[in-house]
Amino acid sequence: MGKSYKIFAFPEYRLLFLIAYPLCAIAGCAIVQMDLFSVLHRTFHFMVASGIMASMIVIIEIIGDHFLFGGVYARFGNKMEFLKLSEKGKSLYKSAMIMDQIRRTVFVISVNLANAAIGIIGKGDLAGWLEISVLITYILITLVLCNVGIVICRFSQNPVVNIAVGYLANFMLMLFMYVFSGPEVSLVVVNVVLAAGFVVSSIGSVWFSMKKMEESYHDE
Amino acid sequence: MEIENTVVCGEKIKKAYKGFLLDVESLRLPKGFATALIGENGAGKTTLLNLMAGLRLDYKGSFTYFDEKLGIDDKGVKEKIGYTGPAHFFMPHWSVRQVAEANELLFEGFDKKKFYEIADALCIPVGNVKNVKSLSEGNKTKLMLATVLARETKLLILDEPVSTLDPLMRDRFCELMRRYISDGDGEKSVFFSTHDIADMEGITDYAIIMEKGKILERGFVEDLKEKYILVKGEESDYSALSKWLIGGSCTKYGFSGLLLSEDLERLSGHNAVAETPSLHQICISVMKQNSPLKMI
Repeated sequence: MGKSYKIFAFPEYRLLFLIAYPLCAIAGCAIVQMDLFSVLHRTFHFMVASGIMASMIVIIEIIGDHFLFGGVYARFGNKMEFLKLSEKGKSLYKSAMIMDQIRRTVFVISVNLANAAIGIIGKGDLAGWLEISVLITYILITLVLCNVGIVICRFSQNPVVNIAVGYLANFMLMLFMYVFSGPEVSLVVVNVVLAAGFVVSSIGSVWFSMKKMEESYHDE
Repeated sequence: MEIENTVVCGEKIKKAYKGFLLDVESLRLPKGFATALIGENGAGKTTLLNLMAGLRLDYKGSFTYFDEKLGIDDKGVKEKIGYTGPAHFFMPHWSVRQVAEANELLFEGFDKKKFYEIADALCIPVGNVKNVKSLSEGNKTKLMLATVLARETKLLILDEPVSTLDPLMRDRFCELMRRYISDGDGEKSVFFSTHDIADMEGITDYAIIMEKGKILERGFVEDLKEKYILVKGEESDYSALSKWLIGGSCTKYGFSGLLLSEDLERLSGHNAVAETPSLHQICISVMKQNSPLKMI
């Protein structure tokens, strides 16, 4: 599975997305959570760090996918023609899609856990405040919006369109975070809905990719 | 000369797309030979090649491969077919190394060492370019050729393989195809579309001429050269012979056109000479006869 992903992920992409980007995300969280604004409570720092990180991840993942599978659903993209010549083409394509989904999920969970760990280790008072459900909400909402945005951006080969999709997803993320932060909202219910959304969007995006590949055998 | 063994056999192939209809009642490609597919832009050459290579499945009729036994999805068939298409065939951000890695994963018969040897022989700048996008159109074509020649194939389907190549590389391409076929001991075949008939005549054994989605003429080149004769004569004789001429044209300096060999006797009494036509002249005349293109 790793080999098939490697085929699509060119060296610069691998360097940026598998090494530099996770390190920058964690470093960014650490910087935001440092006592730069000592007048504010530490939990506020954690929330700011999580919010910035989630919004950045959504944009970067969507724009990053443009360089990995960008425009792969576009009707005249011809990006799958080479794969269709081989008996193994479909399975290789599916493996690469699944691998990318796994990478994204692992990355989002890891960075959020690292962010929480920084908050807890840094001062300790976060441990009492931080509920696991908050962390899960951050993780799930990021993953769901990434999945949805990526499926949309794969229809277009135009990077400007894909950047716009990234910003739209970012706006949606902010909106959801604002709504979910309300005291009357039960995060348990939200998380159940988001978990369902994550499962559907993850499986759905791979299924949809394979469906689009089948469709690409037909001109009309 | 009759086709003894076929590498691809198509029956009742029909595909409609945006007002265009590809309609091929029967198609047999001889095994162990190079077959050229010739026709105007929009004649349906690429469509036919795409259907044959399994890139499009929305058509009626059927193709069978390798002695009419197997379909495109049968095990091992795609492994034996090498296809090269338009220049934007590989992912543009792929490096040449990634192209090799992708081929290694996709095709069991791909020999990476052989690929680099061929790439080196064809002067593809493997180490000097960042990615496929940076290669010139000619080098992209050479790269595609290197990938298919580095595999164990029995049929090459090549969509306009020489259109982006320089004259020297075209000559080299012809040599490669000749060697590919001769190394196969009658088992390896090549099917290519081309507009460069004159350049490719040297390697063409069998020709298929298409127009508006239909096959107009087909046959072994030697047979076609016996079937037709090229007639040249004075302007004054044109009107008398024009109704027998295929794709005839006349200027004040004289006329020329193809004539069926069986109509040779019609030249008697006219000041005209008959010559053996080249494949290029046969194709142009047949296409001219059927083309909607008008002189202005």
